[in-house]
Formats: sequence, C-alpha cells, structure tokens
Amino acid sequence: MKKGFRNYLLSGLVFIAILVIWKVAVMVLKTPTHILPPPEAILFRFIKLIETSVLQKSVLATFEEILYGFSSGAALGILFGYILAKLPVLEKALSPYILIMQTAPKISLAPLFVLWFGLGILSKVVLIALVTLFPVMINMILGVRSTEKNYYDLMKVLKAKGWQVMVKLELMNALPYLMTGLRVGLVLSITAAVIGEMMGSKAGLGFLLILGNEMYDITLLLTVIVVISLLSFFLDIAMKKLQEKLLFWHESTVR
Amino acid sequence: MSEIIVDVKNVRKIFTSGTKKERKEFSALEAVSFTVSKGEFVSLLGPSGCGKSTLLKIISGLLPASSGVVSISETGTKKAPPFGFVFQDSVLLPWRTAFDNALFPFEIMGSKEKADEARVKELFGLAKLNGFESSYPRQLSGGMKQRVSIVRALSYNPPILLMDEPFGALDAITRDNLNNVLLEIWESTRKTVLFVTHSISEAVYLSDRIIVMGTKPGRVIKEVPVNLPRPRNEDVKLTPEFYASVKELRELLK
Ligand SMILES: Nc1ncnc2c1ncn2[C@@H]1O[C@H](COP(=O)(O)OP(=O)(O)OP(=O)(O)O)[C@@H](O)[C@H]1O
Ligand SMILES: [Mg+2]
Repeated sequence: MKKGFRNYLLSGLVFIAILVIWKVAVMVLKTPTHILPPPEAILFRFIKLIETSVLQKSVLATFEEILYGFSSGAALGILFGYILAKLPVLEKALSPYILIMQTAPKISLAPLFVLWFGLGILSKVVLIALVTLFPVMINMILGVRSTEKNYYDLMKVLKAKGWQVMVKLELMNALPYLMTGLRVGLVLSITAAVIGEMMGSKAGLGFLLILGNEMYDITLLLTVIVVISLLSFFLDIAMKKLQEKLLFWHESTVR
Repeated sequence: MSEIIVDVKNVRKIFTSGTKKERKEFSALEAVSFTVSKGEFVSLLGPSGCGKSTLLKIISGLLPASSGVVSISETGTKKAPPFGFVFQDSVLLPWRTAFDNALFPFEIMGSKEKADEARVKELFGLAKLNGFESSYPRQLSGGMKQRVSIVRALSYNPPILLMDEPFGALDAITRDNLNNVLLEIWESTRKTVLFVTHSISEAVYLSDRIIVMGTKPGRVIKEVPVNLPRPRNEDVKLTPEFYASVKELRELLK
C-alpha cells in the first residue's frame, strides 16, 4: 500500500513538472496562443465544453460506438476463434486470407464504410467490430488449442459431454489468451472510433477533432486529444481490473 | 482366488505413423494378458517405453486396442465410470480450488449430494490435505497436487483405481510419504488398484503382485507375487524378504 502511494506521488510530480515546463516554454518563447496555448487554456476549454454539455454528448456518442462495435466484434471473434480452433481443416483453408486481413490496416477501410453505411453510428460500429475481431479471434484460437491432451483424457475418463468439455475446459483454458486479445481489441477500438468519426460523422470526439481542425482551434484539438487519451486510459484500466478479477488463479496475476 | 475384476486378454497395440506411402508400424504391446482380482493391489513394472501408459489407457478406454479384449466386470454407474484415473502429472484445473477440483467429477456427472461432499472432506483428511481445501493448484506443492488428484479419482467411489506413475515426478522423500498415504487410503477403502511405476522398491512396498514388463516389443515377462504381511510400514523395507523381492525383480529387468 505504502509503495503504491509513493508511486502515485511520483507520477503526480511528473505530471506537474510537465505542466510547469509547458507553461514556462509558452511564456519564454512567447508562442502565439493559436499555435500552442498555455496549459490552463486546456482546462478552461474543458470546463466550458462541459458547461455547454458538448463534451458529454461527444464522449457518449463515441462510447456508444465502442460499446456496440467492441462487443459485437468480441462476440464474433470468440465464436469464429472457437470454430477455427476446432476445425483445423477450415483454419488451414482460410489461413492466407486471415493473415492478409490481420496484417492489412483495417482502419483504411473507414472511408469505404462511411460510403456504405453512412454518417451515422453504423459505419463506426462496423469498423470497430472489424478491428476487434482479429486479435480476439487469433487469441481465442491459440487459447483453445493450448488445452493439454491430459485434460481431454481426464474429461473422457469422466465421460464428459461435448458441451462440458467446451464450457468447463476449453473456454476456461482459453480465458487468459482471450483477455489479452480483448485488451488489444479495446485499444484498437478507440482508435477506430475516432478515425471513423473523422472520416465522416455528425457526433463524437473525432467529429470535434475535425471541427477544431477546420476552425484552426488548437485549444479545442488539444482538449479533445487529452479527453481521448483519458478515455483510453480508463477503459484499459477497467479491462485490466476485469482481467485480474477473472484470472486471479492464473500465474500471470502476480500479487 | 477371489473374483476377477480386470481381465486383459491378448492385447496388442500397434501405432502407425508416417505418410500413406511410407507407413511406419510400431508394436507397442505384444500379446499382453493378465488379470486383477477384487481388492488386489497390482503394479505394472517396466522400463521406460515398454507400454505401461499405453496399457493403462487401453484398460480405461482412452485408447482402442489393435486386437485382444479387456473386460471389466465392474460396470460402475450409468454416469460414473468404474475406475478413477490418476495421471502422472496431477491434471488439476488451475481455476478451481483443491476442493472444487476434487468435486469436479460430480459436476460432470450432474449429481452432487451432501454425502459426496462429506466423503471428499473425509478423503482430504486421509490424504493429509486438511486446511488446503480452498487453495488453488498454483499454491500447492507437486506432492500436494498429486494427493488432490488421488482424492479426485476416489471421490465418486469407483471400485477400480488406475494410477500412471503418480509419484514419478516427485523427490524420494515425498514419494515415500505419499506411498504411505496411499497405503493408508487403500487399507481403508480396499479398492482394486492397478499401479504403474518404474521404481522396483515402490512396486514391492505397495503391491500384492507385480507384473513385470519388458520392452521391444512391450510385453509381460513375468508375474511376481509379493508375500509381505499387511498392513505394511517402512520397517518392512528392512526385512530380508523385501530385499529378496527387489533382487529378483532387478534380475528380471536386466
Ligand atoms: N500415440 C502414439 N503414437 C505412436 N507411438 C506411441 C504413441 N504413444 C506411445 N507410443 C510409443 O509406444 C511406446 C510405449 O509408450 P508408453 O507411453 O506406453 O510407455 P511407458 O511404458 O508408459 O513409458 P514411461 O515409463 O516413459 O512413461 C513408446 O515407444 C512410445 O514411443
Ligand atoms: Mg508412461
């Protein structure tokens, strides 16, 4: 506990140091505000955006896209991953395509999706689902395949039914891998949401970025970037907490 | 002689490998026959690669025999198999506590009663695992994990216990301790046990009868009865009878 507190203190000091350097740099170099605003300008803009409830609406819009996109992508990834893990023939047949899709920058499909699915939430949800799908699927395949032969023997000795082998052995065994895939997928989701919104949308944090860009409003841009970073940060922390909670039995959870 | 529980007749096992054109055949077991009677403790003793694990897997139905028959006159219940299986490494589910691992068979069979839990609790006592019920496998030593695995195999009270080198990966001291724990459990439950080992002294200490196996191809060389009095304790290892058995087996395995 004490050590944890000291770490927080150190991190806090680093944060303050960055703000001070930033402030001093702005004062000494006398940069014009429209190129680099002082740190407090970000704070004031942040407050103003909340007062006008623009920020809440934008965060909510982006969050909603991530929620739908990430959960559908994760669900499909788990499903496809399990099927491919159990059907090596199918996996072999599809593997070159999976490899191409996996390495291709799926974000580049964003403009296409906007044309296909419109400026609304759907185009972002599809993009987010797509970027989430792959890491989840690949890790799911690895996780299910990593189930050791001995455990299958145990299940067979106990006359376990097929669904019991799946639920009580394979899925549990895949869980550590799956959580890794989900964490990667979530980080990619945020990027996909913002870029999707920048390609064409009517709401969301990416929309605010485009707005700031068109109006040469550096303060708005920086404020939104900070908000996006905080959003990613807290989503990842939530995911990490979930991971620790679900995997308390696993070696990776060292306490 | 009492009732025969396990009857192995002329069992052969041939493993095929390689491509279709270049089939490689490997004879792992060659005409193996023996029986195990009710309440008997029988060991399969032989060098590495002589097919002990393969034989145990055929008996338990994990592997099909290439020819020959295995008949088991205990049927178990419809849901539960007639045997408990203890693997060389404990095969505990890491996300379950020791106690929940021991109860796992009931979950698979879909029938857990209050009495079952009490029974597992009792077995925990017999295996000297009191106080570790809620520990997770990663918090247990190798010997403790193996004891949990034995408790799991006995939890649903199967008439037959199949054990594949359950203590093979443990140090000598732990192994001796677990041999005594196993003997105690066996004295109080009187299961029919088929025990695989490649330790001569372990086989002599535990068994009523030892089936000695040879390699290339895997086969039965001889059956050696052990006539040491029961119940046994460490002192028996110092008797001339014990030495005589060990010596006989050592000669056979040369
Ligand atoms: N699935 C398999 N395919 C091909 N060969 C196999 C297979 N399983 C076992 N064998 C071979 O059969 C022989 C007997 O193997 P087995 O595991 O039964 O030996 P063992 O007596 O249990 O040895 P150990 O004491 O080392 O455990 C070995 O030579 C092994 O290579
Ligand atoms: Mg073996």
